[in-house]
Amino acid sequence: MRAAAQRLGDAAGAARRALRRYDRHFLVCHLELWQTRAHWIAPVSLATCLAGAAIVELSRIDADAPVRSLDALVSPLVFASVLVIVLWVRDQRGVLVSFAAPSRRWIASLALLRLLCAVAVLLPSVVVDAGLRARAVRIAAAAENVGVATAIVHASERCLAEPSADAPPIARLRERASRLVEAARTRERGDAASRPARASWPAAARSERWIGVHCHDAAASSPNEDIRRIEQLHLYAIERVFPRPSLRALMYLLTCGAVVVPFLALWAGARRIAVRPAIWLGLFFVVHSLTAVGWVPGGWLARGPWVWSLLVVSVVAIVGAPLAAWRKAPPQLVLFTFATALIVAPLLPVAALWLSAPASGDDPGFVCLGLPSFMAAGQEGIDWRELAAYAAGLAYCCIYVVAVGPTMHRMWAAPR
Amino acid sequence: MNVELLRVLLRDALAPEELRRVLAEFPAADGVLRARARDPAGDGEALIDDALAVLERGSLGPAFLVHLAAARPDLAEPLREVAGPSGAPEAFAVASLLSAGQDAAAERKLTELERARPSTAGDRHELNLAVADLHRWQREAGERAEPSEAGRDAITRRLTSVAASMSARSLDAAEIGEAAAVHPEAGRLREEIEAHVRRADGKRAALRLLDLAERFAGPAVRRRAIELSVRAGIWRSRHVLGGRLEVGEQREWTDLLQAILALTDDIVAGAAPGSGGLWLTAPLDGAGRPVPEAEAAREYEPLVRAASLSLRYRRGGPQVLRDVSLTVFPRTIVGVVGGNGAGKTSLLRVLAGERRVDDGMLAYPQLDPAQGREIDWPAVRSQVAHVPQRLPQWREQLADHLHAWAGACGIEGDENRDAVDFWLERLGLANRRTARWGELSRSLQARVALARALVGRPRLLLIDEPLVALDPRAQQWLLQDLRDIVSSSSLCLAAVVSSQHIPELEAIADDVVGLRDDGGVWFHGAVLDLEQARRGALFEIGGRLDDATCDRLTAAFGPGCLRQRESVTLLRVGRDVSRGAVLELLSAGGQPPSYFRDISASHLRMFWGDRP
Repeated sequence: MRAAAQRLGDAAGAARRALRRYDRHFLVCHLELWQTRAHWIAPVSLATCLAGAAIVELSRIDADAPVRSLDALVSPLVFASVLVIVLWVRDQRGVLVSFAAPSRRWIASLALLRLLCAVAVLLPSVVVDAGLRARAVRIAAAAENVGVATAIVHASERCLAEPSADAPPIARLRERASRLVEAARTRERGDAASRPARASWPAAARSERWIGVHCHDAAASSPNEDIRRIEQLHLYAIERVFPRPSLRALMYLLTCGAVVVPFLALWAGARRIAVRPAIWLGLFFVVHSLTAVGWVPGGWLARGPWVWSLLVVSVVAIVGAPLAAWRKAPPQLVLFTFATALIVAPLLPVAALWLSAPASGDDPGFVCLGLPSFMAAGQEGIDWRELAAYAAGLAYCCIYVVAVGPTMHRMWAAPR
Repeated sequence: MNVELLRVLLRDALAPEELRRVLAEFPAADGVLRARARDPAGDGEALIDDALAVLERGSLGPAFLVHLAAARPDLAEPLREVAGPSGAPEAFAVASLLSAGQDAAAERKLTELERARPSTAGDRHELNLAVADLHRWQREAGERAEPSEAGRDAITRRLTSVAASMSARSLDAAEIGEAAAVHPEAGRLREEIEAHVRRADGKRAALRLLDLAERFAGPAVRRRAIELSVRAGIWRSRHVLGGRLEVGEQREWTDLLQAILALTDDIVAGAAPGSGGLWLTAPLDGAGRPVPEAEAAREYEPLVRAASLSLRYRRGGPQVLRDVSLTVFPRTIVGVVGGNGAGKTSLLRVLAGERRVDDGMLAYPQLDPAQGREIDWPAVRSQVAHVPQRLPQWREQLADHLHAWAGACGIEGDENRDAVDFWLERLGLANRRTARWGELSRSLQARVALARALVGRPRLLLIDEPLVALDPRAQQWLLQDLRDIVSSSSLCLAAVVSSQHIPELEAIADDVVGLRDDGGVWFHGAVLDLEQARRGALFEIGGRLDDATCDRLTAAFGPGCLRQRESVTLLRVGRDVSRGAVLELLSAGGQPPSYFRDISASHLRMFWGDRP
């Protein structure tokens, strides 16, 4: 036992030394990678993705909660990713940079590395959820589940045909079950011969019986286990949207912050007082965004003026920063405009997306005039236009940092 | 050689047994003479006759006289007479001084002999190691009540032989030509290293060897120098108390010093004149500073030129700096001294480019090549290293922190590793490379800050109060290291150091700026300049003086010459009054003061309200 413990200790020591050598190699030969911790983030992200995918694929499904047990993986991953990004951004603020004038190439490589690191940190939760969803789809397409769903569809249709049936609960049940069957058929390429017999499963019979009993019971809220299972499969296989719009926006903002905050922290340096107004301005817009979508209670002004004010502030800042530097304005003013351009402008895609889509319960006619509708009413899935907006925001952050960076660096090096 | 005088000397000054032993041990004696010497029954007079005949026949007289002088240093003077003018007078002089216990004079004599005649590397090494043995013997003798006389005798014989060997040696033209081709800076560093070796301070010799390697050698040689420094450090830590060495340890110690000397010679031989960074050949002024001529090359220009700097932190606020001027040349240390709130830190921050002055001119001729209307601050600040009083903390391990900073300064790969390893060893941090901030003492944190600054290859070091919270020994080490690095580094850098430890800073600074409380300049110049400019002399005397002493001093130097300040008495006298005269008066009452310091030529005067 002692020898085994000794060997284990030796092996751990050897592994630690190997990891130190690996870290030291990047420290000495590839400083940008070391400073951004990319040499750790990339392999850890890859390993987490693989481990998560393996867990999703190989774990035993709990009969009562076919995929809920897997869903328990995703939330902690999301939480951990957000925490890691916040801590990582805090770590990046302490990166050592010389006063020597940086090349645009260096700034661009650093910005891109930070962007990729943020993406790598957020990737495992997306990959695990994708695996989760794929498994849920496969489970839903299993013969027994298709059979039960089909039985539910037929039983619901019979129930709805009766004149006194209360539509909504059964109608929704029918809708969900039929979508599952459709998805299964699409997966099986509509092979009618593979459709199981309607009554070949005991679960199907139980479901039919329950629907028959509660057809006229508008207050029925506790379906039997089989129906619950089908509804859950529908939730994970069809209806699930990950990440949700709010989480997508958060991920986008975190990624922007990962690119922008370390540069701001460096170039603001001892002149943090110039950056504080920009931070308050950014917070102002964020709080009003939260009010607009109903997360924070309170009345809010008309969406139009609010979005236009955000737009105007962003444009003034984006153009004003290099102009102020060129005109040799006081450094405090230049830094303020630069910080505003980097803090406020990335909020534009989020504001446009949220405010062009009606919030729940709102009159759809209240859609902001003058802005394109990014999402159809009720849709929470990822739309290519939303992706394009976020990509444009991230590209703007990188390009603006590269374009204005050398000037800001020169100002940082100048005496106060 | 005066044979008769020698005969008398051998007969009268040496006992028969001693004569036989001396003859038997004489290396050049033939077998017959040696056999006769060993025969205890032999006649003494006949033995002397045979010996003199052999000596005259083989022209072995001078060698025998030296051999005898080494064995009996007390006979050095009569033997010098015997040898006459054609002998080796230096060898006899050395033997005579050693026999009289005047070791320092003997060492000085040997140094003069070495400088007077270009010697081979072997001779120099032998001399250095022999003198090192002498110093080691002195240290052991000081720490033990019973010094080893046998050891002393062996050292004396050795030193006398070395002196004789060097006296007799004549080099051919080729060797002399080789000696003349040495780079002057390399030669100077070699002399310093040899001086440290002679003082048996292997660690300090190894550190100067590192400086020599950094200036003139490539990475492979620097690695060898680092290895020797590590060995010297291990040796020092094992034998810090200077106990008597065993035979094996003695050999190990000698080998180490020999290796240091050999590597020094290799580096110096490889240092061609004109290599190793800047080689100032510009004319120097009285203080040893290069005098820039009208069309002097850029490398002779100062690193910083500041004129009439004035600064307030806010409009209408108190003036922090008032009309302060300063010029910093490469390879110099400028001290900035003053009381609390005098503006030392502010001046350093202005020079570092952190604060903009309200008025005045600031230029960096060597750091800002373009020297346009606006200073190119990124170019300047990337070559300036500011070590503030509040040392910046870091999170990672020490070595990683230095690697990261070197990388941020554009040093990558093997160059990065070499630079960090070098400065860790040079500043005594090699065995702390895995330590973190909180694990280091204040003195080590100060060294880390200096290492971080140097790893970035600066041209200008600005160090704010480096001696705060350091013990006296640590202060001396840091200042000595700073002096050595600034004077010999390949970076050709300069340092501006602020401190309230005025005497310590004045000991290493080439130039001192004293700031008054109102931000103005009390005096600007070297210690010598202050010495020349002073109008009187000022002495600090510890404690309160008794009435009799006060009356004596007042009678001698006039009323008002004494002032009591806190726990110190100040005595102001005329310029021509000597220290000795003052001490005599102070000691006349039978109780000399416990503390006495002449601050006539020190900036300490300004703390007592004195005028320059």
